[in-house]
Order: sequence, then C-alpha cells, then structure tokens
Amino acid sequence: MTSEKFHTDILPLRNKLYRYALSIVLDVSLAEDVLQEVFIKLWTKRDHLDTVQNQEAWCIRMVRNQSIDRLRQRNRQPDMLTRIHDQTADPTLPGHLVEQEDLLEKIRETIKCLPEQQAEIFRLRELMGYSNAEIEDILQLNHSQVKVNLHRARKLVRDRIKKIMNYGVQ
Amino acid sequence: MESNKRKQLLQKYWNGQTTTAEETALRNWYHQHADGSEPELEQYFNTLTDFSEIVPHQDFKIKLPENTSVRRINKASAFSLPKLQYIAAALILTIGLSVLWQTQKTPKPPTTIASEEEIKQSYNEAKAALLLIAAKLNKGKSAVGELDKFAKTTERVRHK
Repeated sequence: MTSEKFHTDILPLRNKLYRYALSIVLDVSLAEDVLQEVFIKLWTKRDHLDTVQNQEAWCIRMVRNQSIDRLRQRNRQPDMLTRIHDQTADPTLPGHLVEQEDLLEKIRETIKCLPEQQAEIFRLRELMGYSNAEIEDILQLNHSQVKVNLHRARKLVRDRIKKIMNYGVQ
Repeated sequence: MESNKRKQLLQKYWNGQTTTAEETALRNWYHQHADGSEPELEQYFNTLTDFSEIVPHQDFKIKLPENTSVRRINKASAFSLPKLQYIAAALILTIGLSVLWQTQKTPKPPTTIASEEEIKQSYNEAKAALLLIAAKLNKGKSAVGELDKFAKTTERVRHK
C-alpha cells in the first residue's frame, strides 16, 4: 500500500479505532496510546494491508489485541502506573475530559455485568454501530453465535436497568 | 413515534431482533424526548448515543514515523535454520533410498557348488558317523531286559 493510499484508506479510521480502544480500556490517555501504537504497526506493515480482504475488520482486531495487551500491562504494574498518574494528574481537568470520564463510568457500569464475549459483541454493536454481519467478520464468529450473545447481553443489561428502576440497586 | 410502536420496538430491541436502523430510531427518540419519564432508559440510550459521537481530542495527533521502511521479508532469512534442516533431511533421505535401491539392484554372486569329491567325502563321513551310532545303539539292551524281570518279580511280591 502506498503512503497516499494509507492516508486516504486507513487514517480516516482513526476516530472509529479510537472509540473502540476507549470502549475497551475506558481510559482516555491509554486509548490514545493504543491508537498511536496501532497506527505505527499499521504503517510499518502497510505493504501487507493490500492483501487484507477486510481492512477495517483487521484494524479493529489489531486495536482489540493491543488494548488487551495494554490492560494486562497496566494490571501487572498498577502501583507504578498509579504513581505516574498521580504525578501527572492535573487537578483541574478540562471540561471535555470530565464529561468523557462521566460517560466512561456509565459505560463501565453497563458492561461490567457482561461476560467477556457478550461484552465484546455489545461494544461492537451498541458503541461502534456495527451490524451483526460485520461483527461476525471482526470476531470470526458465526451468525447464531453473534445473535445469541447479543440477545443475552441485552437481556442482562435490561435486567440491570429494571433493578435500578425498581429498587435503585446498582 | 407512537407509544405502542416504541414499546414493540423496545421489546424487539431487548430480544436482539432490531436492525441497526431501528436502533438508531430508538436512540434518536430517547435523545429528543428526554423528559425524565423513563430516566434509566433515557440514560442508557443517551449514553450509547453520546459514546458513538466521541472523537479523539483535537490536540491528539497520530505521529507516523517518517523514514520507516516497510517491513519486508528479508531474503536472507528465507534460508533460515529450520528450512536448512528440512533440506538436509530430504537430502539424507534421498541418498539413503538411492543406496538401498542400488544394493537391491546389484545381482548376488552365484553360490559356489561343492565339487563331487567333497560331496562324496561328506557323504562317507556322515555314513560312518551314523554306523557308529547304530553299533552302539543296542548296547545295554540286555540290562533293560533284566530290569523287566525285576519289575515283574516286585509286582508278584506285592500281590502276595
């Protein structure tokens, strides 16, 4: 893939890929790191991209793997990262970041009741807006697996919302 | 959107049977009619809508390395160690098979037949040996007959 084609075909995916990374790591700066790392990998492998059938699905999978790696790294070194975060934390967060943090907290609360595969399908469908066919392609699952998992995920979310509505239980 | 239609759509949504267009319609409805009558559903759908509009902060720029060469397969590495091992194994197998083939193909030297004199000599030696055995074979036969007598006498004594 030429540099020009990379800029016209791959770079425009940045917002989608960022959103997807954010939906997994639920941390703005970590999502930015993931996106940067993924784009460097994509850039260095751009010759291979021409042979990929569904480039978007391929990029999404790459973001997913990178996000999971970064989460594992963070879980292995929580103390160090907390220290760095404390040192760099700005007590007066910009407005847009505060809003995003609230939003991410709501997403976290919604997804936390879901098993991993259901959470993955929920993210792709509800947060990324992919169709079932696209999810099948990205996660390499069959039609009924996606359908059943989406149904179960929504059922769990609805039960949770019902509980909150009836008893105020989070 | 009518209340009944919305409820049907909601039911369909929770069952995972809605299309993406129907889901967008639901989200839009809750986004436009957030009057607090169904706060949890409003919050749920609005969270999804808000998230789908998130973009990276304007200060964030993706930095691509300028002089990064594209990762290609190094031709030298095409002859890596495992490949060489395969080639060596194939060569050894071929050589082994060809050697085996050659050895089977070469005619065996004809077996040498003994001369007539040697055959006669062997025959005479075998004959002499057999005669010797035959001559000694009857030796002790009389002793065996005595044993028979002894056995009969013992039997008679026992019956008395």
